[in-house]
Amino acid sequence: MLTYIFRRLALMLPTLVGVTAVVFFIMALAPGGFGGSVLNEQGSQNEGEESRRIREYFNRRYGLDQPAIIQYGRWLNQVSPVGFLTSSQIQFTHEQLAEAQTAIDADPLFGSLKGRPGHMLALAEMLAKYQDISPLEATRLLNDALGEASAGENLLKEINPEVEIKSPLTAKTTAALLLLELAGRQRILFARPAVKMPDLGQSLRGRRVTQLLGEAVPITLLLNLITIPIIYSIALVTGILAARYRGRAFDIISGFIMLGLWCLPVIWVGVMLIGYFANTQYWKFFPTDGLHALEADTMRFLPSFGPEGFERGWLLDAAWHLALPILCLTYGGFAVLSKLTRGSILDNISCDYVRTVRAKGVSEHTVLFRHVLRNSLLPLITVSASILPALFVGSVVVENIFSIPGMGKLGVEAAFMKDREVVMGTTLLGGLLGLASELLRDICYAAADPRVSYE
Amino acid sequence: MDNRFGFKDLIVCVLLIAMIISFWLGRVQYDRQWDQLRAMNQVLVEQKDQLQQIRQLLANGVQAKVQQTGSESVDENDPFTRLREVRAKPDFSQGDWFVYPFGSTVGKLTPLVSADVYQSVIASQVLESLAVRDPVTLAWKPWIAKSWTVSEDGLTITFELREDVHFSDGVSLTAEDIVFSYDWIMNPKIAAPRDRAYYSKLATVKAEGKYRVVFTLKEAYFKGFDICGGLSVMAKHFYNQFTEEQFNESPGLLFGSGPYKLSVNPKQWKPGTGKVELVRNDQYWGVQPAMDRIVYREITDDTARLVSFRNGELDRYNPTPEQYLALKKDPQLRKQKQFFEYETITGGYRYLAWNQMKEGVPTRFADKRVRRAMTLLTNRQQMAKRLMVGLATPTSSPFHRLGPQANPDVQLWPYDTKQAKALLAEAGFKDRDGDGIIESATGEPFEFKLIYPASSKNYQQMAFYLKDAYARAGIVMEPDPLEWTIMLQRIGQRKFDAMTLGWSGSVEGDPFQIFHSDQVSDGGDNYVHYINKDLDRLIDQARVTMDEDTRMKIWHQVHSILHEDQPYTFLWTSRAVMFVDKRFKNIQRVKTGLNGIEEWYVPRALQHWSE
Repeated sequence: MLTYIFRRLALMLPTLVGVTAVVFFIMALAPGGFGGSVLNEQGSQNEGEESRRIREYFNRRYGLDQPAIIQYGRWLNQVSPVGFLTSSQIQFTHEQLAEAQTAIDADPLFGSLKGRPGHMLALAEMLAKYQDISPLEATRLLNDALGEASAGENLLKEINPEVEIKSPLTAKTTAALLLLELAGRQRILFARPAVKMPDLGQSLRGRRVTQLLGEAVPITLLLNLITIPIIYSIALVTGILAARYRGRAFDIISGFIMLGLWCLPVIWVGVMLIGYFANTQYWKFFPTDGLHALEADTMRFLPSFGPEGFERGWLLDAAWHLALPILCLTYGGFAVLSKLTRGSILDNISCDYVRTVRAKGVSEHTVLFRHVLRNSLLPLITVSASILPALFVGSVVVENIFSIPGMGKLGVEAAFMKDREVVMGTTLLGGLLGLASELLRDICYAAADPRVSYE
Repeated sequence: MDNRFGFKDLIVCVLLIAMIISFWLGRVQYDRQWDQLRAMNQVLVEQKDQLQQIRQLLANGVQAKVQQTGSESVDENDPFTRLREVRAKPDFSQGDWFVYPFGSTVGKLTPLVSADVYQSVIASQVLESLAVRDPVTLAWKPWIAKSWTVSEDGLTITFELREDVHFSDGVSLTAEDIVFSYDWIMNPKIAAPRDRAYYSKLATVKAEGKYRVVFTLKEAYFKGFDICGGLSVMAKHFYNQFTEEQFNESPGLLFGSGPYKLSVNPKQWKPGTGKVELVRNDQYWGVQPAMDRIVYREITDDTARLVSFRNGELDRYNPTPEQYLALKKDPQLRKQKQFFEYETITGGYRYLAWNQMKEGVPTRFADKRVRRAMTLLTNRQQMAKRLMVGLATPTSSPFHRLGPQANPDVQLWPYDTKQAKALLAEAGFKDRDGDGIIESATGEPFEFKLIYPASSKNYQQMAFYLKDAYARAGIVMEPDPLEWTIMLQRIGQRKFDAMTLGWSGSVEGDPFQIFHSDQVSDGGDNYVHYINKDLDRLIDQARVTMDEDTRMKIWHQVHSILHEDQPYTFLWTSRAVMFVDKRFKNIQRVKTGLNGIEEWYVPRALQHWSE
């Protein structure tokens, strides 16, 4: 069994790489490539020169100008716990920087350039990181580059072979060009293999992907932890009852209603619910959006009667806000599970052992709950293996209609913006959970059914 | 032994789950208390600081200010004259909140490094600049600076700062902070490429003493003052606590001297709650605005936003033109809300661009007569009425007609198919084979494709309208909708016949970027390959002319040339529509749109929210 688990774990790695690669290359090869939509807001007017510089900056920072395969390699290196350090991860100590600062202060060449205090040190630091040398060495290198035009050109060419040098290089222009070229530039330092923290990177809009996921996951989890038990309990009960009263009114009516609900598109129902049940023109029973009222921060926790009459309290306020979204998430989920339960119970009910049990004179109730139900739950367990990943996957439509900042919204917004790191982050999370739940399911099979063995 | 899952086990399980849930809820409540405690703590610390400052003042001796009654002199430099007038109104009352809906996420408030569309809306209430444009006259008026001098050559601008300005924590604002703001933007480790590119026209920013700053520009530029005067002042003592990396990655470091501040400590602000709250800065150095709070709520769905607005949960709503047409007559809205149609000078314009050079070969649009014929065939009045439901005004230039740049003598080209056909015939386009389509002398039919963004329904309607209009003159136009990024690619490569889009505007626009021949080559925005040496000369001249009257005369000539040459068919400027709750008073139309929220108020009896 242990070898089996190890083998499965080892197989997960290439599968994950495959999953992420497919998503990555579909995005990368789609017209416009990554980031296009973030960098060019529709109709906005940037000066030509300006917008070009901005694009260059982002291209460097995220490596968007490189071939897709290299971008993917960089991303793998970034998320892998074993890999190479990148230049941005190098940190210098205060002493090292102070040393460089004294060297800069002592140098008359740098002194002549002192327009903006601190920038020379920043430049030296960036150069040191990029070239993987100490800041002091970088100041020397910088001194050479600024002192002599040809050395400066060589250094610039080394950083960016396609650099455009329009006018003859003076110390000042070299410094400015170096600043421009080095700002945001990263490279993988192959000389520095390391065991490091996996990093999901930074969204094109400037926030860490882990932070974004950290905000969205609890919200989606909350919604799904309420939704899934409701769906399961209602679907199971109606499924059992429908099987028991097969062909009778309950079976037909419940089947009809559930299939009917299943047919209704969420996007329409959501808008209708808001339009009728959250609207002062009709019935203002529920709030229109969000998870809390504006004044929720100062509410008491539990509902109570205060001097101003009934106070809702934080807990009830949250429940009240969740009512419509939960309704939207649940109503369509009953049909499939309930039909599955009904079908599998009916399969079992016609088995020989049931006839034997009935022949023994056992009551119908006991037959159903003691014998049939236990055997019919097996296919349901297969279905429930998908719960683990489903918990983390938000509903795009419901989250957008009710303005709930969950995973669905995060993922779709990122996909529209072609925000590489966020899309890849959510893909990785989804892939990992999916694979893990499949492994878990297979282990559960073996544990539950002695006939299953992986030896 | 029978180890079946029985009724008792079920009860145990349910109890166990209930216990876990109640434990978790307990934690939630505990955290909520903790947050409140922290907020209270922060207020206490702020008050302690204030007390200390007051004590210090007392220790140094306070001079009582004698109010001069009698003399009715109006201070020319007072930035708050408008606000003082508002506060003098009989039904003026401080208080109430303004709830402002956003259609997309605000995940980052830190200035310079946030790419969120709405960040600037929020930041404008918190950060202030040296000077602001008067919303009525559009002239620059002093704000943090009390006066300034611009050198003859326009290269040096010296600002004298007010001495009574301080940040929302009471620390006074000095020249140091302005120098710091510039240095911070220029610091290459800060991820602010946009601002860095914008301020790269400055050579140095230096403090001379505590209350004087000198800006020097690299080259004379008529917008030099806009660049310097519009610099948002960031507090040195606040932002200096952070390293560049911390700043780049922080979500909420929004702190300034403005009339509002974040309701929580900027260091602790967290995104993802669906709202951003600003509270009035009680220590504001200037005249206090009326609203206690401005709450920005994120509501993504359009229907939900409208319903919330109807319910009175939101205070403003921006309908699309089609929605406006439907909602204009809605009795409930008419009763509870006020409707505003307004024009902004910075609103920009829509245009049809005619590409004169495609893949190195001059196109038929290289002929001025053809371009003018196309304009004559475009019935802009009718399009504005039908496609923009009347919310647009045809324009004849890139300059907004409300601004001083537009030449008042230029008359819009009319809708005149006869003249257009004559012009086309003059340029050699006639229907030679009788198939209803006009051909050139070599027999090539007049056919072209119009590219436009596929995501917009409005552009699509426009494309079909134009197809019909041009067909009447024997021209075959094929609509070619493109995905936005592909469209940009095609524009960049100059691979199109004609396109339609809009440019956003500014109070005084610089046509250099779009119409100067320098911008024809790679990456520039003159993607129609329009070259007119006279125009180049005029633009170059205007850009370095500091005297406003002379410069405006040059812009007028620029306008005339553009009108003659028609590199674009300028379509229209549009009017925006906004619905605001009826309880807000003193909302006015000004040249920059509607006046700012700081000038609005709610009379005491109508107030909805209270602290």
